[in-house]
Amino acid sequence: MSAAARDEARITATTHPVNSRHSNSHTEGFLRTMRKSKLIAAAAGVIAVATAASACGSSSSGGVNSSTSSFNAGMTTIVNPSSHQGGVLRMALVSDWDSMDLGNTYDAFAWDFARLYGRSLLSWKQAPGSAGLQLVPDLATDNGEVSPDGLTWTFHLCDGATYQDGSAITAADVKYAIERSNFGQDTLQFGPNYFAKVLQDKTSYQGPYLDKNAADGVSGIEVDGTDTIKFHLTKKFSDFPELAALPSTAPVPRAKDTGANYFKSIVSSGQYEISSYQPGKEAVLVPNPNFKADTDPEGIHKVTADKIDVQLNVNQDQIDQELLHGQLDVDLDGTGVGTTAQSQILANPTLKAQADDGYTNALTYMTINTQVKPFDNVDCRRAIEYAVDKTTVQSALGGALGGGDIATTLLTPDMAGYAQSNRYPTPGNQGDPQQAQQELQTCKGAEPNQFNNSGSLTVKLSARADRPKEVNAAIAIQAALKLANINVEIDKYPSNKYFGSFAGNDSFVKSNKIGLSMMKWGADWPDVFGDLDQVVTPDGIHPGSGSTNLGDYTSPQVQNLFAQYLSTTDAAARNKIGAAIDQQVMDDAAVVPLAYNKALIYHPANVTNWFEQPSFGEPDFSVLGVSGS
Amino acid sequence: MTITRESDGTFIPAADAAPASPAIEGRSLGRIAWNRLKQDRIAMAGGVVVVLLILAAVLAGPLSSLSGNDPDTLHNKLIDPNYQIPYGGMGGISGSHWLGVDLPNGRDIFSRILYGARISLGIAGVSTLVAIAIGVLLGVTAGYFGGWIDAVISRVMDVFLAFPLLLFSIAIIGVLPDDAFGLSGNGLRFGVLVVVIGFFSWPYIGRIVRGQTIALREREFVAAARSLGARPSRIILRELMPNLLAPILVYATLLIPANILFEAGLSFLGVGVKDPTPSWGAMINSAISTFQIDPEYLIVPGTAIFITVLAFNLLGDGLRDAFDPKGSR
Repeated sequence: MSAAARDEARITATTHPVNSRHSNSHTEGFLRTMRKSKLIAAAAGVIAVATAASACGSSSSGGVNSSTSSFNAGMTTIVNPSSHQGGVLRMALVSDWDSMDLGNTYDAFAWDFARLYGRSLLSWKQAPGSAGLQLVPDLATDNGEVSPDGLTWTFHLCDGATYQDGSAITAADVKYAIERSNFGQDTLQFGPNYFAKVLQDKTSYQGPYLDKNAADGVSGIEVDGTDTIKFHLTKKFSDFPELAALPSTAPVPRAKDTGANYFKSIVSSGQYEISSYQPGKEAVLVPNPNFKADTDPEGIHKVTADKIDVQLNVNQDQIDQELLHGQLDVDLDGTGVGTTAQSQILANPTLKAQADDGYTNALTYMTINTQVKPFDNVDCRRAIEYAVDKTTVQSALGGALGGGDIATTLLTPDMAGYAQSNRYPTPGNQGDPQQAQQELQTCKGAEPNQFNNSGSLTVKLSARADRPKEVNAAIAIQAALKLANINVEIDKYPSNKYFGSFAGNDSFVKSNKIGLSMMKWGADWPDVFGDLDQVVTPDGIHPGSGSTNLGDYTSPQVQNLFAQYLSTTDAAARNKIGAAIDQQVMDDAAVVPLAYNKALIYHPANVTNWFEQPSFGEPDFSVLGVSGS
Repeated sequence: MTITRESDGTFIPAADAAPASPAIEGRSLGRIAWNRLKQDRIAMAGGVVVVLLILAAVLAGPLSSLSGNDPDTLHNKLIDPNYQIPYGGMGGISGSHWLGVDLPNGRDIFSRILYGARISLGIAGVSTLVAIAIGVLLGVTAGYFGGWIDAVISRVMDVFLAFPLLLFSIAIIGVLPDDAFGLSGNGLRFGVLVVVIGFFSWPYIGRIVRGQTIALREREFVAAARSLGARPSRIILRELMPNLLAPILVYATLLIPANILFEAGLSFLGVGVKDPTPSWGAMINSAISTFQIDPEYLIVPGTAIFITVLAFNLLGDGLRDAFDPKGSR
């Protein structure tokens, strides 16, 4: 899409689905959080959609500044740009993929990395700063055409695109990829299923794994020939291009799909193919010989290294030291270095010049469970709001650079709808034990039985044991609440079971009376609905396990505001409603915002084309190479 | 005399251990041992350190308030938020924080070490008492009665010695609810640690006591008592126990440091007492992630464990030498 085309962009009416299939999917909720910072909000809250599209084959201009590295250079420029091809790009990851299958992943780094071996219909522009918030056509020829009633979206596929085996990519493959990932969640349970919420589905399609008849499919996707795909929606959804940028739109040939085992034999449509993947150990990617660069006019899929090697399950400190000593090129997690490396990098100007420190678009906060006594009483919750010393929490999280800025709202500063406010101001954000005690007295009047004989209150706080920063923040909260005569017991649980078995498991929370829970959340969707729906509405409460609304917070006012939000098209009005939702949640004291997260990320000098991708809130992993020398 | 497999410090009762020299005739075993111990400077140094440690643990409150601190107050202003180390280096050692502050919350390490000593010595001490109680009871029973009773108890000891204690401890603490046995929170953790550690270290004491009992029960003074019609309970309590006290004391002293290390290991693995209650093992655990930039925080609790274990071991070795009749004066 050219700059001129963007100027002509027509902003379409925005409506969002109120009806959410999400609430039926238990596993999905907790996996959502693994994807730390999904999509950043566009300034206006509505992504501009170009209907006057560039044809497949026309070339786009780059025009992004480049530079040699300095601190935060990667936030605004491409550092060390190079078209050099060759060498081995060495990556490491503290964990492993939830799945390398593009239709079955919800990890932030995985969506970022996905563009190396898959082509979604659209893609985020590979550029730092606000330019990176624009969508560009990838497998499609343009950003999609929407019918006048806003209910039909049409995409055309680039001619001549092929898989790694040389066979042609067809529109039917894109349809199949969307069907398997959105309707086949019985088998592929990890990914999002946004399409299922907006597409027409006259036959209640059960997905390709339950309904093995190849002739069946979702009625809302219509394939016309080999290169045209039409989506019929149940309601207007102006953010549909963002759905088209999800990795699950990358084509999958039906004949090659092996369901839950497809991750072992992924058929690449991108410029790399997976030559080996040993779960928990290593993934190796090599260039895809059948990738046709002329089908990629935007230049999204450029081969850089001759081999990409990803070591898995490596200790964070080891990753950091290898990065600093030139034994590793990229930390694939994208959430920043550990404490030791942070200290080393900031103390050394040479190292600091190779680092970026930006918002990850995620919020660290603590929920107060509205159904655990005495916190069903708003005064008791407000006591907590006043008691927390956010400065000590910030230090515990890694300070302003390693942790983030002190937060007072649910929406992060980058999110459209964010309005600066502080419902519970305390001197210097250090907490106000006196005010908290006052609230606690009111609370005690209503819930005298919940207090100990000595007049103090005991409450449990859950945190993830394998996240030291989170545990240290919990300790800081514990110390602050002690000053307000609230005794906190910290209960630590493993992070991979935090949502399934513990803090996100309603019966566990209630039987163990866990009143407070540490939480971190990145927006799923670049607006207020996408950011907050799963954490402050019933959509995020799953009766069995996997809740992401850890405080069991529900509010008719918030739900009304969301309904208004979804029926409003004007960006300014939407922002106002977004801010009102934020304020309502804060007024109900359902969560204690702690920090707008930032991450200190180091990139070795030999790594080329480095920049921070704002749509992912982390480095762009799809363009990196190593310098020739 | 029956050979005891475990004991390298075989003990011969005072009744016939007294050498011919008239100079020391009439002295009790305890007095002989004490005199020997007094001349063992290393053991005495260990003993003094042990006494000081116990005092420090008991007086943790007053001692930490000497520096104007308590173990739980956060001093995050003392930590450089960017470098994530205490301002001024040296782990934040200053006039008010004698051993510096911890990371990243800036709690006073001196206070935490003192309060941590309570946990370490308390759990190790009480669990050693549990081990002695069970070990002596079963060891004497097995040794004195012999036969099938001995066989059963000895096999039970073998089973306990072969038990994967560390894994078992982690598992049992992991599955215990927050409230059980009328205890909750740290009280429950403390109780569980004491029971688990004590319950699994009794065979060490038990086998030594059994061996000594087997050796003693055949001796003339026991036979004499038996021929005079003494019942087994009297023989055990009045004839055997006084002669068993010395090895029990020695091995208790040597068991304590092992239990201190075990408690520290469990705390390090996160199954010790809960935050914010300080524990040396948990301090080491939280310090390892930053030892490259703030080694002081790791060194202090590590040194505390080192000194404590060394002191108990030196004292224990000294006691063993002192009670050893073959040892030189």
